[in-house]
Amino acid sequence: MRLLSLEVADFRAFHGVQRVEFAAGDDKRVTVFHGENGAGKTNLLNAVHWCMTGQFTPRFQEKRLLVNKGAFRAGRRECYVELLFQDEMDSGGLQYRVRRSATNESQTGFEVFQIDRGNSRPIPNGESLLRMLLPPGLISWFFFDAEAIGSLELSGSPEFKRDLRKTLGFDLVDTLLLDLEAVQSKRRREVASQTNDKELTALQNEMDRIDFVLPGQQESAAALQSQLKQIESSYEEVRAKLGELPQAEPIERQRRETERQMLRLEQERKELDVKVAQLIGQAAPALLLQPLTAALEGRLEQEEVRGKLPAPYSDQLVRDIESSQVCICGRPVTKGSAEAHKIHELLRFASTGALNQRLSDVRYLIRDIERQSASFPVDIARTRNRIVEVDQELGRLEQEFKDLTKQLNDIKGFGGEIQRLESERERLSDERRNITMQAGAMMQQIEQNVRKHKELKARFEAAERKLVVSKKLKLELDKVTRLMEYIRRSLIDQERQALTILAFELNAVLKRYLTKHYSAIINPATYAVQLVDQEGKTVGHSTGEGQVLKFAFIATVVALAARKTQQKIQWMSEPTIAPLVLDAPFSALDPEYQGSVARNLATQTTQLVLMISSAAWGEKVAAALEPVVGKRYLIVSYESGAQGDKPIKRLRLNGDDYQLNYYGAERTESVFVEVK
Amino acid sequence: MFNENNRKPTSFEDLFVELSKEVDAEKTAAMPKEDQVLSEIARQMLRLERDMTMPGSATSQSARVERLAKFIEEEKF
Repeated sequence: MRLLSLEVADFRAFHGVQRVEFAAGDDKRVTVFHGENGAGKTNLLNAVHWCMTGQFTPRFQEKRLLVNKGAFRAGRRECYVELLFQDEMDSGGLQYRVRRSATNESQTGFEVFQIDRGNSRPIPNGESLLRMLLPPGLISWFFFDAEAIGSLELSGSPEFKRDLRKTLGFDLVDTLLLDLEAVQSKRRREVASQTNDKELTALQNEMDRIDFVLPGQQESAAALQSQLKQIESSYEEVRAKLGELPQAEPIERQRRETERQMLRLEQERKELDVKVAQLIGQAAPALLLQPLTAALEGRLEQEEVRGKLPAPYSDQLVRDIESSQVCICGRPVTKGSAEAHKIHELLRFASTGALNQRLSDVRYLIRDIERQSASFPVDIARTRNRIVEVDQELGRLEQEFKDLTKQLNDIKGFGGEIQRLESERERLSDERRNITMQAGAMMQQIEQNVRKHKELKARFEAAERKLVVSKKLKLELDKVTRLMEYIRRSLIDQERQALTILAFELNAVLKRYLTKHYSAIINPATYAVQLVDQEGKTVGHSTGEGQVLKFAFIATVVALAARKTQQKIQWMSEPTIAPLVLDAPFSALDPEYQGSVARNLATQTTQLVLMISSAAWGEKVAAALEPVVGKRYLIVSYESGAQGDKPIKRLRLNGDDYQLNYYGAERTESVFVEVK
Repeated sequence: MFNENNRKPTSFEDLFVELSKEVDAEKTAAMPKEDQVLSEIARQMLRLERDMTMPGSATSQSARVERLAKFIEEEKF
């Protein structure tokens, strides 16, 4: 799909009816909105987002104040957003108009029309059509709030993995597997009822109970994760505001550094706990076996001294004597004689290659057990000492954090703004802790239920094997099980293949645009994306290159979502072609990379809508985008108040100067002005 | 691999699609016999699931389960 135009009426900062058109050509595919902070770039992104989905981006605040304040004062109680878009030509090139309206209290209307030769025909199930064109799981990638790019997690959280799986197109096969599990349960219930076996019925009932509660628990966990994401975003916003206040800035910077150290140490503390458990786990068998191995080694040595282990002669010597029929002392050894029999008996104790190898293995094992037993006390003491050091350091940093917080609260002036932000930060911090605990507890319950379901299933299968079930029913159950096993097995291969393609594309972008020789690797289990240098060392996501990685990742995911069927991955669903709408990109980027990231975004997408501040529209960005910009608007902000000491913001475009804000206006509002 | 300008497939791309189909056919032929059968059934089931979950004509999970169970019952493997 390609966006053609947007009309907003009394929506947030936009007073009255305003209309913009988007560049939708193959060559001129970029639309740029230039606006300063607070002009309404996030409002514009959310107008598109809300119109298509009925939802807002996580950073969008005061969702209950949708109607423009000036319009509200003038008695107007409703706002609307209307989007005109066109399906891709390959899919028929049909045009659609979506209109969503709301008051500050609730949504009041939602309509989707198909436009045929100028005539509009309402579509009864419009939400479904929009979901098909732009699946809900993909929206956060296509309509991206780039101001929040710092908090974009590439670290492989379950939520990130879930979203990326949807984007890669594995959601359909995931649903199929869930449905097949239900088919399997249905067949098992039939087995239980046919055999009338109490144990089977009880096991199936228990599995049904878990099947009933698990989706709800998973939904709650996802909702908690989403809530957590929103809280984290708000928390970061409050911290950023604190950092902007001149007197608070140095203390806030120091507090962030302290917090960073605390996080690092908390992570190390967790790793040390795991290490202690591992050390105990590894050394426990060795410690238990050590008294036995000491006795065993004593016995081996004793036998060695007696010349019995290994025997002083080899099996080959015995066979040579038997074949030559002459003893080493020179006496004849006649076949069948008592001597020949005695010599043959020697084979029982002869030293053979296999026996020597086994003895050598036993000795190696004994050495290993001794080594582990000896190193365990040293290793565990060293680890525990480090735990004490980390705990002490954490205690010191916690105190430092408290002191810095107190210093911030003690700063006078700014109309109590610092204290207000601090109190908000603390509230969000408490809320974050609370939600994290709830999410952790929920995840634990889910894990327990999944584990229990697995155990019950295994017990059911074991019990069912003993019963006489009709051949047909057994066959049906077996067919579902084999199918599921096959799909799961090949899904692993296909996921790996998709991630390889994603990593390949991502690295091609990084290679083109990064000045350093860094590459990205994707963990197939967690989907975590990591930037590594030439020596394989991890490069942090907060570095300039880490930020480029995030932009490159978004563009690559969007491109891959559009082209996934071309990659011949069997389980993937249909491709999704949609515009990439980015709010305020590049401000988080190192200036060195701004031009190349802009070029990459324009190259990788079918249509690009950028909302950008004058500060982020540098020479390199302009040089990269100017050739493909098809439409351009200024979001000019008008303030009803006096200018005072506030600045006038200007933007220079292709040799012309434009003013982006005015004071002393009739009302506070933002206005789209097209730049031809 | 990607067409940077998003142009419609060129004749080269058509050729690649053809080649890729052949590679797929070879891959399938190289699979064990049972996997070949399961692969084909899984492919058909995925199509069925797609039709049943298509926005606008989505069916309930219980209806999907009944339909899938019937489909598996009808297939001999």
